[in-house]
Amino acid sequence: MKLLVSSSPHIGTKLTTQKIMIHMIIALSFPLVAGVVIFGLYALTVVFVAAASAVLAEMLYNKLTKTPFTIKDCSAVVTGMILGLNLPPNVPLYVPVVGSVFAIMLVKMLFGGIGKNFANPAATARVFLLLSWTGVMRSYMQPLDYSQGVWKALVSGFTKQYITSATPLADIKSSAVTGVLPDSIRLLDLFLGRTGGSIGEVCAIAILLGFIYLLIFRIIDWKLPVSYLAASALSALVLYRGGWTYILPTLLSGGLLFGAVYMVTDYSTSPNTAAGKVIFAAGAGILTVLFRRFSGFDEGASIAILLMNLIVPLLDKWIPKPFGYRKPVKPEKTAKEAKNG
Amino acid sequence: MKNEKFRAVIEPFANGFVKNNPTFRLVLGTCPTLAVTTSAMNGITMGLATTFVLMCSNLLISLLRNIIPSKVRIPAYILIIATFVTVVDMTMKKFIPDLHATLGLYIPLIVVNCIIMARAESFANQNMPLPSVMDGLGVGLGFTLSITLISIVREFLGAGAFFGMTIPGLSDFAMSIFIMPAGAFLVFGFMIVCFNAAVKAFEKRRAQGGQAK
Amino acid sequence: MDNTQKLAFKESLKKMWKSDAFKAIAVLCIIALMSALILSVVHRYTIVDEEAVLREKVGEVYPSSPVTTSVDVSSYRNIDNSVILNAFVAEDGAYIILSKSKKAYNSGTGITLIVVIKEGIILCVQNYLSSETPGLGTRALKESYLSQYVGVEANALAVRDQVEIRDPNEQTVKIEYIGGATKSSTGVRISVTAAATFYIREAAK
Repeated sequence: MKLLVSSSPHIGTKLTTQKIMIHMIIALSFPLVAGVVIFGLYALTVVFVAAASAVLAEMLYNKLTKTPFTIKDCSAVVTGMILGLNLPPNVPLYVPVVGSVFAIMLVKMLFGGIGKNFANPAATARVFLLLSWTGVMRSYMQPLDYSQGVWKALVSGFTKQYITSATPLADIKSSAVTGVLPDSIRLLDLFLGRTGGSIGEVCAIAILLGFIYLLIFRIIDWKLPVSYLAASALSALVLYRGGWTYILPTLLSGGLLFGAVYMVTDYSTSPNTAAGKVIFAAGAGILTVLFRRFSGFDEGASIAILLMNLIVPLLDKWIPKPFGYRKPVKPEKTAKEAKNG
Repeated sequence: MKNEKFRAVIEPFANGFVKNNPTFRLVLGTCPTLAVTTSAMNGITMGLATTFVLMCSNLLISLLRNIIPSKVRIPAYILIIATFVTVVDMTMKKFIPDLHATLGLYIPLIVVNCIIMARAESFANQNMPLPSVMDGLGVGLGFTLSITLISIVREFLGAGAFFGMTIPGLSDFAMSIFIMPAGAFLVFGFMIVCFNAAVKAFEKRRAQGGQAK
Repeated sequence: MDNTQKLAFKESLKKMWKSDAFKAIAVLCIIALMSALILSVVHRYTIVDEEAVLREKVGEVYPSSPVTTSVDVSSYRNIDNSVILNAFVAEDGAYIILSKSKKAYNSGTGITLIVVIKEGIILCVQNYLSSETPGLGTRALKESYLSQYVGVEANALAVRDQVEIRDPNEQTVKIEYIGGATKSSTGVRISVTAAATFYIREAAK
């Protein structure tokens, strides 16, 4: 029997882990389809390799430790897909393989499997890959040019016939000193995904569709993405000299929106209480913009989420759970604890 | 009788590698273990420098164990250890300036390396000089072996090299996280796991073998 | 002093002699003395003539003209996070400058470069002493990377007087950074900039 160790919202529903994960896969397929349209079939291969190696890694781990197979809950597929969508569309295929194995084996399974991981496996693996192969992880290809023929464009990733390009993030970062947004950043392009970037991150509209899907089926809690985005917007307003003009480019570029919908909302790595969730997501938002503005890297979403993941246990401890919560009277509390123990 | 004496000398030496392995078993001296293990050469130099200091300080402390009043033993030990560390520092600066510059701050920091203090406190001030020297040698070489292993792994994964020689075909795929601090913790943790698992398996087999006999 | 006083004094000396505190101090003093002795002997045999080593190295870097005088660098302790350690003037008027950047991945040792500037143009940049992370930071110290500074005018790099505020858009020299080794690249830039500044200020004298 499979017990789901996760937060309160799905008490009393018929949702099983497997169903939640299938909903997640459907929601993830929106940015995946957008990514394939924008970057071609090689991007699909990258995501597929990431997902497949995640599943294989979990099977391998189960086999090595002689535990029952846990791949049926589909969470490995979700982790692999999120990681794959976080990668540049032109990475060599060993990158998603190593990333997925790291995410599943080291971050998830070694800590006890689903629901017990301390940090988001995909975010951790992305940071791991970024620090490992910095050059590869920071070269992004330009969106496909379909004028030369659809098929030729779609397979161009396999033949290495692509042009690498600067991402809007790099432009935002370099223009932060002057506070004047360069002309290369057009909001419509950011919204539709006609920019360089990671496979799943570029197309804002597809991510928003996935967000709406997840909200309709009540898979994720709206508080997390909303407070994450609000905090990012506020910090962009404060930290960039350009002020208002930088808010939307900050929100729409890079992995911020994707992280808000798919990574911040991870059950086991977000706090249980409403207040905790708001603090967690807001902290991640502030850190994201701080990293983007001041660190050596262009992107900070996954590092920020990873860092905030680490204080989730503390948040759960500091902010008591309101559900069925009674104000503790000291001697009673110790008695209760003893009983539980 | 002779056999017993021989054992008293050889046992501390042998214990230093497995039973008292400072890095993997006692988890002492983690600062140099994490900081200087970016390349195998660094690791081996650091280990040998520590071994030298450990041997000399163990010898002196063991010789002076009845003279040093127990109330001031810690300052006395630190004086002795610092002397040898400075000797090592000056010698390295003269003869291997490049490595000295690489290891930099971590050579003077051997003074506060807790392996040396631990061996002085728990072994040298209770034992005869010869076993103390052997203990220093054993623990020191155990430390050298461990941090060299860690640094070989880190250099191999992080720079695609082996003792400074780049391995063609591999250095292009080097994962630079392994020469960063995060990678140091990862490799250190996994080496502890592997070492202790291997020791456990070995002991289990030996116990079974003993029963069969 | 009468006899009883003498006796009492002797007694108190004896007491002191036997007391723990005296013994502790004495032992520590002896150990300290011995270690000082050992160290002085070792120092005697391991002393490094740094000036000679430096001159030899400088001669290797800039062989075309013998180095004559060394310049007083005491007023250049801090130019934008870096220090001018040493500077020499060669016979043909070239300056050979050792400048150390405090900003580096390994900030303990920093990055020390030898920069040769002749007639306002950087002739040569070489790594003198540094311990950057192998594989990553060392890329910033390879000759192929350092050579991008060769031929650059010192005037374009130098830190101007503080009164003048530089326009951030004005990019006089385009310096390439190495992805993932930003700190090391910055250290190299700072180091070369300090050398250029030193040259401009010295040449103005």
